[in-house]
Parts: sequence; C-alpha cells; structure tokens
Amino acid sequence: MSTRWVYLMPSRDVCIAVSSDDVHRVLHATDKEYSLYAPEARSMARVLSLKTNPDMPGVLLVTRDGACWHVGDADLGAILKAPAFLSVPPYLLKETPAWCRGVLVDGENRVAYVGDLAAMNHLGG
Amino acid sequence: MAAQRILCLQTHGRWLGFPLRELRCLRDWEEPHPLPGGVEWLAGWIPYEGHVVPLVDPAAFVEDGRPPEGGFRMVLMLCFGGVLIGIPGERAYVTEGREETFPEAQSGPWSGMLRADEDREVRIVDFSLLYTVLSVRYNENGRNRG
Repeated sequence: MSTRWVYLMPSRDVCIAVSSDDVHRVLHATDKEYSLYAPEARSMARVLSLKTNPDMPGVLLVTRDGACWHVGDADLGAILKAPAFLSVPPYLLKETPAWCRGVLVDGENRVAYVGDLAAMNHLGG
Repeated sequence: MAAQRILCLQTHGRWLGFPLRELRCLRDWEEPHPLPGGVEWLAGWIPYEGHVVPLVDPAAFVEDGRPPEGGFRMVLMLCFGGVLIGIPGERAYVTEGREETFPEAQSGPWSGMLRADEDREVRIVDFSLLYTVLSVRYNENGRNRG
C-alpha cells in the first residue's frame, strides 16, 4: 500500500512530507482547539534552522505520539506528481537521529524531504 | 612513476586533478537543492540516477581558495568506493602527466601534484583522504554500488 503524505511548509523554500499515519491532526487558526495546542507547539522552521515566513498562515501539526509542531502551512493534496523516493545517507546530516529519511522528487524536479517526526523531537532549537 | 591521464578541474581558484577511473560524468551546473541540517561541507545535492548526490563545497578542502567570479559552470560527478559525490567547478579538461610530490601535500587531501599545460600546478586528489576529511562513509571493497 502506498504511503499517503501530508506536506508541510515550515518555510516557503522547503517542503517536508510526513506519513499521514504519523499525523493525528492538522489545526488551522480558525479551529477552536488551535489556541489549546499553540502554547506547546515547537517551531519546525526553528528546529531545522529554516527562514520563517510570518506571512504564512501558521498551522499546527499534532502527531500520533502527542508532539505538536508549528509549521507555516500544510497540504494533504498531491503536491508532487508520481514522486520517486531517494534515500539520504545519514552522514550528510549534522545531527542524529537523522530527521530526514529521504527525499521525494518528481519529474519536474520538485522536492519534498521525508521527515521523521520522532527524530525531529530530539533535535534542539 | 608512469604518466597518467587526469581530469583537471578549476574550482575555488585552484586546479585539481582527478584520476579518470573515478569519473562518472561532467554535468552542466544546476542550482543544487539545499539539505536542512546538512553537514558543513555540503553545498547542496542533486538527484542523479536514483541517488541523492551531495555536492562538496570546495572551500571545505581547498585552502586559500576563492569563490568563482562568474559562479560555477559544471559539476564533476565522481564515484569512489561506491559513493557518488559532485564537485562544482568552472573549467575542466583532460591532460596527461607524471605525479610528483610537493611540499604543501599535507595541507589537504592530495596524493601529489603534476605540472600541466602552461606550467599549471594541478593538485591530485586522493579520494580516501578526501572522503576521510568529509567523513563520507564508503566501502573500499564495494565499488559496484552507486
């Protein structure tokens, strides 16, 4: 069975794909539970040292293991067309455990980084 | 030492030499993708034949170099021990010469140097030293990967 991806945009330049199996909820500012989760949310952009974009909507991602991430935007649609999965050697990443399992690349050279949410939880920032 | 054929690549203000047996191809420059949280020497990556190929920032191993004035124009794709890497560069050509030792050999991952056309000093890259500098994991016996 193929993985269903949730695409996260912690910044305008970087798209991160996480398995929908790892996602409990995606909350937008208009959702009434948003304010309950927001104080506990970590900024995914800050953890990955990405440039934040204040003009992005601001979405909360609640994971199956209870973590909460603030991301710029999220999309459940098929952003990439029939992407191929390429693995990323762990030695290319500064910190372990590796937050990125690999990349999805489609025929138009669009890229999404396959994120490991559990590993991200261990990163500082 | 016998003469050998070397691919010479101008990058970061120096001429580097790469044994042809390690060369996969030369590609036109394309802006690499970033890798958030990537190691210091990583200039980005490009997809190539089903692999994520890291591009090495030449500043990571070329001392006293300088960035190219007009930007990079090509990527040298190399495979050593089954691991692909890309080295950005400005100009490249193939020459033949005899490798010599030189005093600055300890300053970087060089096995030696050769005097090429116009008395140009070309530093020959020792891949095992380069990969050690970069902490790239490779399999000395596994040259069929990548």
